[in-house]
Amino acid sequence: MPDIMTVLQNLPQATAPADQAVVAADVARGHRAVSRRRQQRIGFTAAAVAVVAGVAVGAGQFGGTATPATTATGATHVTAASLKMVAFTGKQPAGFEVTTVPDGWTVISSQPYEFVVAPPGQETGGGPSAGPSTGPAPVFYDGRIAVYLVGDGPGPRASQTEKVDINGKPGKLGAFPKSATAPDAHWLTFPSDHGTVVVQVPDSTGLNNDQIITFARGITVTDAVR
Amino acid sequence: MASPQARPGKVGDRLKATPEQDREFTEFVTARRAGLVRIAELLVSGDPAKGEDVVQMALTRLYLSWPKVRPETADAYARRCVVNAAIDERRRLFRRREQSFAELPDVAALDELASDNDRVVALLKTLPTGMRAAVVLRYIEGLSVPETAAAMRCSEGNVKSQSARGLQRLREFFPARQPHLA
Repeated sequence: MPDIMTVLQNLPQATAPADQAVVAADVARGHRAVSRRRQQRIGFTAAAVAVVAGVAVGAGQFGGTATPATTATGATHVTAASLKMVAFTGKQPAGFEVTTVPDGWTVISSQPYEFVVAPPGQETGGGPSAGPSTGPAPVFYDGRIAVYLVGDGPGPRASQTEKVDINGKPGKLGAFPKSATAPDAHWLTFPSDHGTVVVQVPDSTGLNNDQIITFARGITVTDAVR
Repeated sequence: MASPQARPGKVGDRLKATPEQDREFTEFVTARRAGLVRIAELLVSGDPAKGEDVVQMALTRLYLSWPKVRPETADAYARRCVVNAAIDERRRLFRRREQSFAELPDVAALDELASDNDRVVALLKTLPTGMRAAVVLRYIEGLSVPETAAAMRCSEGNVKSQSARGLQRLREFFPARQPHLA
C-alpha cells in the first residue's frame, strides 16, 4: 500500500508550455482589465472634480449650500434613455416566460434553468472574452442579461441593496462588488416556487434600475424549469 | 524556461503598458501557465474548467501588477494570485460568467476510482480551502515552508500546522479507500 506522501509527490507534473493562442487570450484579458481600471480612475476623478466644482459653485451662489454635489455623486449607474422596453414576441426560453425586453433584444440561449438575452448584433454565444474551448460552446454573459435559478442561500454579495416589488414578491436589487477582472454589474433577485431567480445585468448593457425591475417583472418561472 | 527580465517601473505603470512588458509577460505565462493550471485544478477540487477560470483571473491580476513584480519573485507572486483567485472562486457562488450545462460528465465514486492518483485528488476535495492549499503547495508542488507561506500570505507556523493536519486527514482516509482484492 503506497504511502500518501509518495502518491502526492508522484502526481503527474505539468511541464508543457502553454499554447500561444491561450497566452494571447490572457494578454488580451489583461489589456481589457487595464482599460477598465483606467476608465474607473477617470470616472472617479471626474466625479471628484464635479463634487468640488459643485461645492464651489454652491458656495459662491448660495452662501455655502452645496446641493449640486448630490447629483454629481449620485450618478453611480448608467442612464439608458435610449433603451426602450418593449413586449417580447420571440420564442420563449425553456423553463421561463419573458414578456418585456429592451427593444431589439432577443433570447439567444435557453436552458431549463437559465436563459440569456442579448442586444442586436450579439446573437452568437461567444463574447469578446471567449477563448479556446473543448466542451459545448459556452455563452458568455458580458454585455447581456442572464437569468438563472439558484437555491436558497444568502444571495449575491453587495454593499447595499434596495427592496423592490416584483409582482407582489419581495425582490432585492444590488450591485456585484467591484472587481478588477469582471465588468461592473447589477443583480436583482426574487423568490419563485422553484427557487430564487437571479437577474444579472452588466452595466455595459445600458439598462437603468427601473428597466431592470421592468424586465424582472416580466419573468415567469414555469413548471418546465429544472 | 523563460524568465522575466528586469522591469524598471513603479506602481501604476500598467496604465502605460508597453510592448516590452507584454513580451515579458507572454514569455512568463508561456512557461508557467501549465503549472499554474495544475495548482489551480488541485485547489478547486480537480475541476479543469474551474481551474482554468481561476488561472485566467489570476493571470489578469498578475498582468495588472506586472510592472511592480520583481523577476525573482514572479513565480511566488503568480502562485499567490492563483491561491487568492481559487479562494475567491469558492466564495463567488452567484456571479456567473458563462452558461453552465445540465449534462454533467460521469464521475466515479471514490471507491471505484482506478488509481491512487485519482483517489488522492478526490480526497483533497474533503479538505478545507486553506488546508488544501497548504497540502498542494507543500507536498505536491514541493515548495518550502517559507515559499508556501508567501503564496498563502500567512505565517510559516500556520503553513506547518495546516499542512500537517491536512496530511493526517488524508492518511486517515486513504488506506481505508483501497480497493478490496479478492
